[in-house]
Amino acid sequence: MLTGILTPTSGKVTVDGLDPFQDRTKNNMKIGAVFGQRTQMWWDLPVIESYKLIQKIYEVPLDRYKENLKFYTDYLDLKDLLNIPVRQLSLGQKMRCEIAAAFMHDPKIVFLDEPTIGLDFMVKDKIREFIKVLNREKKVTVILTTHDLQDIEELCSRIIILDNGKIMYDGSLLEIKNQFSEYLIADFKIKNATEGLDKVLSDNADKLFVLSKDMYELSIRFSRNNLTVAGVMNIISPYCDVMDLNINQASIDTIVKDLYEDKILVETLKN
Amino acid sequence: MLFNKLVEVAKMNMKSNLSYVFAAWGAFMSNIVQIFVFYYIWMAVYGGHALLNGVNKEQMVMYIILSRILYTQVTWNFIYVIAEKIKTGEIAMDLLRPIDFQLYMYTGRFGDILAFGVMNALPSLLISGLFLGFYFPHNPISYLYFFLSLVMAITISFFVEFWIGLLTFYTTNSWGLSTFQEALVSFFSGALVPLAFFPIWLRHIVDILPFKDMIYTPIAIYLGLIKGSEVPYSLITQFVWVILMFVLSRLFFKSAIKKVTVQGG
Repeated sequence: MLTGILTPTSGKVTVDGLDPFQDRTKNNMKIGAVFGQRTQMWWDLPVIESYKLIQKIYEVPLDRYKENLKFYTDYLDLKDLLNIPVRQLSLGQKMRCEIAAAFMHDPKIVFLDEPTIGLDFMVKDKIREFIKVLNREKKVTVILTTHDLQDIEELCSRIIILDNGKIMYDGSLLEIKNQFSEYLIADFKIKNATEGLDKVLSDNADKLFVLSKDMYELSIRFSRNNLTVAGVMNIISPYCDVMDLNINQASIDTIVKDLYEDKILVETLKN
Repeated sequence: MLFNKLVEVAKMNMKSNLSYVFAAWGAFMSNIVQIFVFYYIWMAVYGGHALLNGVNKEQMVMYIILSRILYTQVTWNFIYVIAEKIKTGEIAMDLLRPIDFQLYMYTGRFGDILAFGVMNALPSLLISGLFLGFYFPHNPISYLYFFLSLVMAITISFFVEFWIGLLTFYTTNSWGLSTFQEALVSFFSGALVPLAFFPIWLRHIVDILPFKDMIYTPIAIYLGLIKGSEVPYSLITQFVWVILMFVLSRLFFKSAIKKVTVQGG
């Protein structure tokens, strides 16, 4: 919708002062986009041909284009790929070329839809680094949708969490982490659990939240404000032998997971 | 400026096409075979006659060659191209380019045709002409009229295929539509039988349809079957169809594009 491909069923969208659907071509001059599974490059032609076309149709000044091309080529390591037809590239190679293409005309806003989906660690890292640099140095606004939470942790300053078309959270990454930093997750390895364990856990449901539990493992989330680690130990140790204990701060992964699974948390967030 | 951009788009399309040399050879061979098949059928029809329905043998041979070549372009599966874009969601990427989608596709089409001309049309014309005989118009101006008419023929077919292709937004599949369109075109355009051979009542129907202007009109102008004051009249008729099809496909495009559902996320 922000790129002008879809029309809203109701309401209004403006991107940098333009209606992206009505002023499609004008809006397109200012934006770049990568959609995870598709390519804007010409399937049968060497990558460089697509870049040349971008230079022409987006009216990028030639020296600027050369500068960009050199910068991106170095950064994303595209040198050996430029003369290969797109159809012969691997997914990771294609994605690197694709990202460079989206930034080639110095857009003000770039939309990235799952830019790191299905890529190996090295490529992911490279792409993230590249996005970060461009965002910082060229002041390109990057709007990113992703399921990869590491993407978020490394790249985003503002995050919006959606579920079924509803905004569940909209704010800075720092804020959400701060709000959740009071939460700790304790992973116990246990033995000889007795029936009393279940009962005592549910009795203390207001203070702790059981993430998972079986015969040998128990994972609990609790708030620093309500309970100390020793307090948790005191609650469960009469009912089982604790073999090992691992305490972590809630990472963005678990926060988001909890947001989706545990709607109560959403309420705490809102307050 | 816009024109320069469009030239670039056409060039890209041409290069893409040129990267499929073997496919082009296949298409070329099948073209040659078709021309020869049509040639033998029509020679059997002519029998001992030198002239049938105002068309002489030499004209007929040239008609076969030109109509077979043009037919491959007029029913070039452009519907399928559009449909595929819609089906796979690739259309999203095209809609992101800073050029109007329809204009973008239209120019791309000329790139295709240039590649086709080099790899298929010219060699087909030369080889079958050398074996079966060429026919040249008496009046050199006919070449100009032929060229104008040819461009308009391709333009009309572009718009028709464009909006049939867009129907895929509603049907999500194009096979039935394109088969239907191909059947209509191959009969009413004069691709199988020159319109001069049609009975009068059928001619009246054909005359009010746009299909004749996709194949018959340019070739008939070249061969002098349409001559004198009929020529400007035919060209104007073609032009009217161009405008009409443009407006129709444009309106349809505007409404269909609101229906876009990008398939596959």
